[in-house]
Amino acid sequence: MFETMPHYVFLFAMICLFIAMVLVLIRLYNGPTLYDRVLSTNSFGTHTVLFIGILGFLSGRPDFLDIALLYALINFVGTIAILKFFRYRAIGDALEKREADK
Amino acid sequence: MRNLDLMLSLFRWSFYGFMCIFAVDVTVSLFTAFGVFDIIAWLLIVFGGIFAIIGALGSLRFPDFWSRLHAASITDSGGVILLLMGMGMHSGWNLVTFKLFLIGAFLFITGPTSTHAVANAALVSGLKPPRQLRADLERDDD
Repeated sequence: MFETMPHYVFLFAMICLFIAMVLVLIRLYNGPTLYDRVLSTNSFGTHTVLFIGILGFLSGRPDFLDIALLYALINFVGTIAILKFFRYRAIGDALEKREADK
Repeated sequence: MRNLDLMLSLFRWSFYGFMCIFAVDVTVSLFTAFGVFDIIAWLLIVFGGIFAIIGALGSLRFPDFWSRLHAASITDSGGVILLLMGMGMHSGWNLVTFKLFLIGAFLFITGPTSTHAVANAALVSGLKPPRQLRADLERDDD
């Protein structure tokens, strides 16, 4: 009876993370301000990292954790890039402007 | 009528007794079939999933941005810690544990950083805290 207990546990965590991702996506869809959407995107990325790890353990191949690590890196860089873009309306040329001001 | 009450309470308490015996039986068979670390790992994973749902629910239902920030950080702290510790205890000591530790350390550094960046950008762009908090802050200034 309990031979497949780890599968049930990982499946439960996966369903929990899926419901949480759907809730965060609803907030992402009707967030009133921009910062709600950025926060929801960041939270969705964290959920995705955990989801990929759980999926690797559920399918018996924990090598998926490399993809989860890569996704965590991309998620952080993406959040900072979105914030910087909406602050300066450009990602690349803020430094050149500062040098031109001197 | 009194006999009926007596009989119903008898049924009820025997049901409780059977449930206690069943719970003890399930627990004993779990602990004999698996080790203690497996059970702890499953508990950590289940509670991590519950924490993830709690954080997402708060992030959906809270009234303004600053309280939603607080709710999203529940997932970043509690859910990540519990799920990664559970997966690490389930896998044992090998390369997978090191990768999980790497993911945990990275999320631990970048989660508060990105949350602070979002909050700072919102405050600089003029998104005000709620009215009660603002009144408290102004009263502290006086």
